[in-house]
Order: sequence, then structure tokens, then C-alpha cells
Amino acid sequence: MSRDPSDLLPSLRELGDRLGDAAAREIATEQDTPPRRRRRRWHPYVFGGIVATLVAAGGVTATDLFTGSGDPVPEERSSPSQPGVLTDSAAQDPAGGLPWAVRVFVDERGRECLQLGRLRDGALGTVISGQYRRYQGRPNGPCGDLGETPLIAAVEQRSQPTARSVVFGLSRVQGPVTIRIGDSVRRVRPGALGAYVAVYAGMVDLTGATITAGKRTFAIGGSGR
Amino acid sequence: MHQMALRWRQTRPEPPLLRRAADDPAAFDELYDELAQRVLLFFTRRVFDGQLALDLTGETFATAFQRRRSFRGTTAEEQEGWVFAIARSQLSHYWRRGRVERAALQRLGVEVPAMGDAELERVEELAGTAQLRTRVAHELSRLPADQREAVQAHVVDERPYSELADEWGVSEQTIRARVSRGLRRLGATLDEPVTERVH
Repeated sequence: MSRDPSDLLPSLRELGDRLGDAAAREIATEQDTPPRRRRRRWHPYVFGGIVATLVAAGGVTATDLFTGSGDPVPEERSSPSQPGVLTDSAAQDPAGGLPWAVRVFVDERGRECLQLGRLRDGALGTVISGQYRRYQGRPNGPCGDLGETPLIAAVEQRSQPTARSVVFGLSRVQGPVTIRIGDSVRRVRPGALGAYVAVYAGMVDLTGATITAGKRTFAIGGSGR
Repeated sequence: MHQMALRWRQTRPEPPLLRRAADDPAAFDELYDELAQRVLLFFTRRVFDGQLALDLTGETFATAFQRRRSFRGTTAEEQEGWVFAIARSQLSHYWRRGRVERAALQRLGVEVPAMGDAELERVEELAGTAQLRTRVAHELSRLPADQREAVQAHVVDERPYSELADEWGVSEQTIRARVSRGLRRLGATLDEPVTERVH
């Protein structure tokens, strides 16, 4: 099983957070305004063990995501500037507003990767302080190898500004993916290319949570059985 | 007859993140997310030390932030080239002085986090340094003897030019030229991509 770049990311991300905070302070000082920086990053490494063992092969990492609501749900189905956005994977946010969806891309190692975000006009982005910002540049997100495992799954949790837990991934198994978290059981039918997204309000307790695709079940915190 | 009106919608590309980062911290975040790992691996492949590479990465982005208003490019490619030019400059400074410049990091009050053992191992794995070491050793063995000995003595064993000049009975300039030619050839090796097949 290949190791995932998430193994290296904590220090690099921590450095990015520190630089970003410093940049926000500098800009605020220049503009003579209070810093408007927020804790922009997920803290996936709290759940690193969970995420890493969630898939049987091809580990995953997490990407930066923001929750928000109040924007209209778009009608567009594609975006030339963001190839790979799978609009049929879109899942509603519990509070309404822009749905969540994934974009599929292939990393330099040939693995399938997913970027999660809020869908608008067929493109993914984030909602920051009530304002939608389309993702720019190269996509980033968790990666796995569907050649090695039938399921790629990732969990991202964010405590602010609005607490959300998002389970998403890719399945090459026919039929729905069943997500069991506590007493909640959700059956999510992947889109045409196998992408699925399930959004939960709050920071759900993932203890004992499982994801089932076909006859295989992957336990959060444990391996597939 | 039914007529259909077509309207062109003119769009303009968004300015590069660096331009937007002049007064938007989120744009700087995005720039970091886009390039940080590649910059880290760029350094790791050249200094063979993940923590050192992270230090250099931090100084590179701190410098990029501080100089962001001097960026005049209009495309993502120019932006990337600009950041990597800073990275190469940091590397050059490191080679010359033997230490990482931290002036920009200090001005921003940023301390570079320490990498754990697992991270260091992972960074080296991603950078392909094990393969690279083998390739460099191989290329070193293929250098002409005078260049190989000069690189070995000055770069690997860190012996000063003056000492080598005395010992070998040639001018310092001659040894500098041998080291320079040898490193240039090895440098070409370092710039070749390392491909990794994932099973």
C-alpha cells in the first residue's frame, strides 16, 4: 500500500497557517483595519488516523474547506475552468445554501484525487465570511488508488464558522454507499463516475462509523473486512 | 420566424494570486497551498534534508509575501517562475553562506515548525532522494577524475580551496573551475524528474 502525502503535510500546513496569519496581520496593519483572518484550515490530522485507515489502500488527506450558506443553488452543469467537477455528486448542506460536491483529478503519481468544495456555477470554491470564492490554481485533496481498493473515502470536519462533517470519496462498486455513523445510516448513491458526498451538521463522533460499498465494509479507525 | 439572440459574455482572467495577495491574505493562502509542496520538494532534492528544506520553504514564501507588490506578471506561469526564482535565490544563499537566511521569516515573526521523523522520511520519499543519491553517486563516478576529486574534496569533505591548491600544486582558480564544471554536470542530474511507480 502506498503512503499518502498526508504523512508529510502537518508541518507544511502548520507553516502555511503561521505564514497566513502573519500575512493577514501585515495586511491589516497596512490597511489600518483589524485582521480578518480566520482559522481557515481544517485540522485533518486530528483525524489523521481515521482518515488514513478509512480506506484499504491509497491513503487520503484533507483539503481546505469552508462552510457557509445563503447563496443560491446553481443550475450550471459544467465549468470549463474547473475540469473534473462532478456536479452529480452534489449534496445539500444541512443549512441550505450552496451544495457540496467533489472534483476529481489525477495527481503526479497517477492516483485519483478529490477536492471537496461548495458548488456554484459548475465550479468548486469556498464560502468565506459569507462570500463565495472559487478555488484557484491546481486542485488539492485526498488521493487514493482505485486500482488497489474499490473505495476511496475521506472525512473532513470543521468546527467553524459552521460545524460540519463531510464524508466523501469515490467508489467503483455498483450500487449505493452506506455510511453508518452512530445511529445514523445514510445510503448515498454515487454519481456516474462513482463520486459520493454526505454532509452532516456538527462535529459528529466518528467512533464506530463505517462505510460499506457492495459487500465490503470499511471501518473508521480500522481496516476493511 | 423564431429568432434566437446570442449574447457573448466577455470574461477576463483573474489576476494571479500574487497580485491579489497585495491586500488579500486569502490569496496568499491559496498561493501557498498551490506551490508549497513543490517548493519543499525542490529544496529537498537539493539539500537532502527535509527540515532544512522546510526552513528554506518558509523563507521563500515569507520573502514572496514581502516582495509581492514587486511582482509584475500577469499569468500563473509567471507567478510560479517568480516564486521559484526566490527559491533558487534562497538556495544560492544557503550554498554560499552555509546557513538558511531567515530575515523575512523574522520580520513576519514566523517560526518554522519542526518536522517529525515520519514526516522527514516521507518528504525524502516524495522527493525521491534515495534514488537521487544513487544517481548523484553514479554521476559523480562518471565525472572526469579532476572534477570528481575537486567536488569530493571541496563540496563533500568541505575542504577550503586554498588548502587544496597548496596540496595539489595548482591555483585556487583551477580548482574552482573544476568544482564548478563538476557541479554543473551534477546539477543537470538533479533537475531530471524522478518518477515513481505506485503499486
